[in-house]
Amino acid sequence: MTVKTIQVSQNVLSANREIAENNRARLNAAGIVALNLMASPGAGKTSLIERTIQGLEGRLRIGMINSDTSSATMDAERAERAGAVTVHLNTVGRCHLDAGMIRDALDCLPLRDIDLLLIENIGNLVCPAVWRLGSHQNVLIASTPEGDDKPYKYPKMYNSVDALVINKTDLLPYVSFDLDYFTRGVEVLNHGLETFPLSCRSGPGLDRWFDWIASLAVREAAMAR
Amino acid sequence: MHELSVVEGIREIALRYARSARASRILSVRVVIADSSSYLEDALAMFWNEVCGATEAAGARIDLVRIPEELLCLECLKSFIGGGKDHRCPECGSERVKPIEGQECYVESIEVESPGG
Repeated sequence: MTVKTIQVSQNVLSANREIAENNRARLNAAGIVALNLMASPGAGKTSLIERTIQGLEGRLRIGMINSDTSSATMDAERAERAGAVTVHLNTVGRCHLDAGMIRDALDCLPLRDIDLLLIENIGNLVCPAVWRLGSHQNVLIASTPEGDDKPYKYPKMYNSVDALVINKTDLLPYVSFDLDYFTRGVEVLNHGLETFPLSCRSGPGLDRWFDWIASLAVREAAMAR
Repeated sequence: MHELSVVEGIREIALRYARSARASRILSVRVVIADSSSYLEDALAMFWNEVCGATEAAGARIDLVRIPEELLCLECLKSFIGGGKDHRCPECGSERVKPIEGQECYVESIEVESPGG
C-alpha cells in the first residue's frame, strides 16, 4: 500500500455552475428570460407572481417553476389559475433550489411557448444566494413587515442579487420599517441596485415592475433571433 | 440542509480524483472555506460521515481550513480583510466596498491509499 496526496483545487460549487451555464444556454436558445425569485417565507413571492402573470397577460407567455420543501402544491395551483404553465418542484426538505433541479424542470416545460420563466425559490435568505440556477436575473423580494435590518443580517443575499423588490409598501404606516436605514444597508452591499418598491395588494409600483420585466424579455428575444 | 448539498459536492470531487489516480481508499480530504460562507463546520462534519457510507471515502477524515473574507474599497481601491461589523474601509472609511470574488469553498487536496508500490 502506498499513501499519497493529490492536489485538487476544485470549487465545490463548480458542478452546479456548469449545469447552471447549460440551463442558461437552453433558455437563451429558446429566447426565454428567466427570473430567480428569492425571499424569506411570507414576503409575498406567490402574490407577486400572481400579480405579475395577470399584469403581463397578453404581453408575454409565462412559465413558472414553483418549489416547496414538501408536496404542498397550493402555490403552484395559484400560479396555474393565474395563467402560467407551471411545474411544481418538491425539494423534500432541502432549503434551496440547485441548477440540476432546474435542468429537470426545464425538461417538463414547453420552452418554445414561453417568453418569461419565473422561478420561485424556497423561502430562505441564506442558501439560495449561493446556488446559481442559470437565470438571467436574481431577484430578491423583501417586505416591510420583515424589518429594516435584513440587509445587515443577510449580506450575502443582498450583495448577490441583480434586482430588489420591496413589497407591502402599503403597510409602511403600520410597521416599524425605516426605509432610509434599509436603503443605506442595501447601498453599502450592492451599489446602484435596481429597486422596485411596490404593493401587491394595493397596486402602486407594479407597473414599473411589469415594464422592467417586459423590457428584459424583449431584449432576450431579440438576442435569440 | 445547505451543508448536505455541499458535502455531496465535496464527495463527488474527491471520488473523481481518487478514481482517476486508481486509489483504493480516500484517507482524508482538505477543504478550504471562506469565513464569509454560511457553512457550519459541525454540520459539514456530520453530513460528511453520512454521505461517504459505501464509497471509497468511507471513514475519511475531513479537514476544514478557514480563510478570511477579502473586500475591495471602491473609493480608494485598497483591499482589506473583512470581519468588522460595518464593512467600512479601514483606510478611508468608505462604506462603498464589495467582496472580491474568490473560491468560496473548494477541495484543496485529498490523501489516498493505493494498492501496490
